[in-house]
Amino acid sequence: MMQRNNSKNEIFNIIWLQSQTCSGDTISLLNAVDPSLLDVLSGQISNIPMVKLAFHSTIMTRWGIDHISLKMENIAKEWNAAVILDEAKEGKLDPFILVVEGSVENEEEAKKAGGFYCSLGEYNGRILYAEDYIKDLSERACAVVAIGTCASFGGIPAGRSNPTGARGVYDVLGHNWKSRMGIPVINVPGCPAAGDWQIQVLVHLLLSIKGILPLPELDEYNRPKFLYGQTVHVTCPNGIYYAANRLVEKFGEEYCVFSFGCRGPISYCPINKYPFVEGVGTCTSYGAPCIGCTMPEFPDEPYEGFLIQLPPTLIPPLEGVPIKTGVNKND
Amino acid sequence: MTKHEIILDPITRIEGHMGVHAVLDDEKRKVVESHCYSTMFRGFEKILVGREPSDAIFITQRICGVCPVVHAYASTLANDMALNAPPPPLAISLRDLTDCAELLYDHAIHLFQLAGPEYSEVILSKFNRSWIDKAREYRCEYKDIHGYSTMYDLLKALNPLEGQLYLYTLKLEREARKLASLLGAKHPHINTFVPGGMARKWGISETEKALSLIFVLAGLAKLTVAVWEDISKFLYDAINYDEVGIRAANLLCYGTVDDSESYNARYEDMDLWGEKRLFTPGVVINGELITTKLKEIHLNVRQDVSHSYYEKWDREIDEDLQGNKIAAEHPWNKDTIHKPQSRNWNGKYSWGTAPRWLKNGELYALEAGPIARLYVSALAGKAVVTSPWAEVKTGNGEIRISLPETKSEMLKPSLVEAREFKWKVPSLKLEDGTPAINTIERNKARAYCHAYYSAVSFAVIYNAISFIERGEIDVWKPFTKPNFSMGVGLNEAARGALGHWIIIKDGKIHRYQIITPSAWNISPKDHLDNPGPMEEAIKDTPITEESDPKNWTGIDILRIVRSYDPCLACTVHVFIKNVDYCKRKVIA
Repeated sequence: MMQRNNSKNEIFNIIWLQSQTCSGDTISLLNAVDPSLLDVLSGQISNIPMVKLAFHSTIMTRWGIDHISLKMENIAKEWNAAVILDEAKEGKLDPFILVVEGSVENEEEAKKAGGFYCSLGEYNGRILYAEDYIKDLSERACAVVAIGTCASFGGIPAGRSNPTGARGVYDVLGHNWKSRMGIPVINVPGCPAAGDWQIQVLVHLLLSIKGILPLPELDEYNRPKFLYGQTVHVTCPNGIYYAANRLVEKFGEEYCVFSFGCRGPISYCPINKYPFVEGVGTCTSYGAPCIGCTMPEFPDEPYEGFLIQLPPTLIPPLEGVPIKTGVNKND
Repeated sequence: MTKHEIILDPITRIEGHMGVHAVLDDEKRKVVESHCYSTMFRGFEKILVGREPSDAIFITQRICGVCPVVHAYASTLANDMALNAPPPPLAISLRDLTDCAELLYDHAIHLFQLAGPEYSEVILSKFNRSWIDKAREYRCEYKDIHGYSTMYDLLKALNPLEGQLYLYTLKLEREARKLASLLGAKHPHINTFVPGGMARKWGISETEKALSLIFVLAGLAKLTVAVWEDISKFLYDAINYDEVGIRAANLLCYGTVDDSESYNARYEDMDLWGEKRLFTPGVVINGELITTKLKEIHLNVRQDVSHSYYEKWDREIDEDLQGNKIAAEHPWNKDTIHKPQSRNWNGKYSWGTAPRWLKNGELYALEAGPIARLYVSALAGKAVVTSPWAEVKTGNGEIRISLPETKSEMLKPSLVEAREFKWKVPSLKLEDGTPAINTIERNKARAYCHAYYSAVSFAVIYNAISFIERGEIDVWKPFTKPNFSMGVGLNEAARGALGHWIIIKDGKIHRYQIITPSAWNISPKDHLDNPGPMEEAIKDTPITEESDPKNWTGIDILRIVRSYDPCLACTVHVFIKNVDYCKRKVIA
């Protein structure tokens, strides 16, 4: 059972950790509108608690400072970014939501060799391993949100042959893991996830924690169903061309791009409903094949060979199988 | 002499994971030694091996979410060449426009949201209090464009998360990503670049929408130049910030934005289409332009891992498909073998490698970035950008950019009027007279480069319109994939020279190597112990913090680091061999 938090003026901190990431989800977050990131941070939405972005390496003003051979004094200490993470661990930033962007590396081998694959910084001579901090902060967090395909499922760093043992946050914590408020890891995949999807999930989560909405219903991969309930194909405006077997022979033609590898029929993604930047930007309706970037197996089979047509055996019955390819062009 | 060491890690407000180690002289208040290093590793090039060549276009973008288009572009060029798949002219223009769209947000986000806060009132009142008094008295020259009469007002507007400039530009930058999404289906990580052209239906309504966004973004470009021209003047005149980050002008630019009439994806014609680019390729050594030949630039690239967490590799080929000798240290031959280990400032200390450029037996640590782009084009005088709305003229060490009247409800009235801006090769010199650049010039060049890209975006869409008018509306040409082939894709990321090298065997990726601009800039030392560009720029730099050494935060070092706009996810992505200990679990 989820214990809800009903106190009125509480400030919620967001600790946004970037592990093995390209920062694409952060840039994407800046694309969100109605509400935008700044709307949320400046308290312009009624009914959600005040939110503070306590740690975000790409956005925050402070930075890491470690004096090695000299005792650090006040200014340097209070300005230090790395201190925030330790404060969060000690509970000084409660309540907080942990957001992870990026896959989680496996440091076992690297540590044995005295090195690391991903460090969040250095403080008091210690390397802050991303993997360790994700595990430690999850224990204190109200909720853990994995933003993007890397944090959700490992994404490209976990692609064959996965050199660093990368995996998703819920692979590290356990698929049945729940936070101290009883909330499972919420995955918001997409490479990157559109800013609007990210904000929708975060705001929904805050409203749930406050007891205004029930928790979003999650699918078997911990994705909120209200966003990831349908395939790209089902919501694609070119679906009718597919049904009529009108597939493109060349890029740039009006018809369905299934013939050039579109993974729309097997990819669950809201891009056709909530495009990328203020209604602009969807893949298949623009004539670009879906590459399945929201899916757990991405970028491996059955998604790799992005521009090569999907084998008919992999197409779910609902969508039906086009009999021929590249025919019935209007000419 | 009292010295002490400092580690700055995480370096925030850049893309990715980076640290700097520096030895500081507490009495002379300067840096005596520095090491720059990356602290994250993923192994992209290993992940690419065995996949379809065109998959690299989609996968390599994901190296960096800040600058995905430039990776897509470089990978597409490498694919075009290797697969013998030249695109139709309209596709070249659309690719160019996507590239411009990304740059039009990327330079701005760096100047206003990432590096900008360094010079903001909030930070200065904490670390450089005396600057604030000077700023109150300093009158801005470009008030009629940006609207701030004193430098103090302008610096207040730069305050993170609340300053007017911070918030206003954040909104306008979104319009650039909207333009990139209009062309790329989404941004970050576009879906429309394919070998042989574009996977994008494109017509009149798309063109009109794009043109309207281009006008709005030209307004942002005017603002960017005005703000950073004034900040630069203030730093020179009132603060004497000249010495911070100073370094000889040793620069690399691959050139970018292909000419839709000349680009044919052929290796043998690389010098021809390279010199037709709207930014000219070139290498500058000690202020002198050495070459503008793209193939010569490519053939002389070397990589060194003496101070990186990798081991030496075996060569793959002896020569390219034209019979030019390919050195063992060239990226076509490189095969990096990773080895995480403990850090040693005299030994290995970074996940980044050390790219160098060979000329007459000497290895040069070249610096990449907007300053290299402007410097090369200004000296070469080959680049010409024309359109009915905007143009760029280059030559005699100058670049003249004219931007049109830009009326839009998105833009402040002061940004409407047509403007002309002029950039000149900096007159800065080292003590021995060698032409040099510094922190101020790197940021200033970034602002002018933004305006340059804005003018280019007009020229590129004008081309696209002409092709559509002439009925040349094909965006893709079919091709036949060879079994064995080699390709190279060189262009310019926001941060500078970006290169992708591919070898295809049995129709699949056999080797794939990427050298990013940040790999050049933040490179560790090489086997001769010569420092990378940023390490060199940090060494000997004065410390302006007005506190005692125990309270130093290293802000001057950070200003140098951020003047390079480093992108760490880009820097470290490298190939590993024989490591397969965690096989991927297939979930479904």
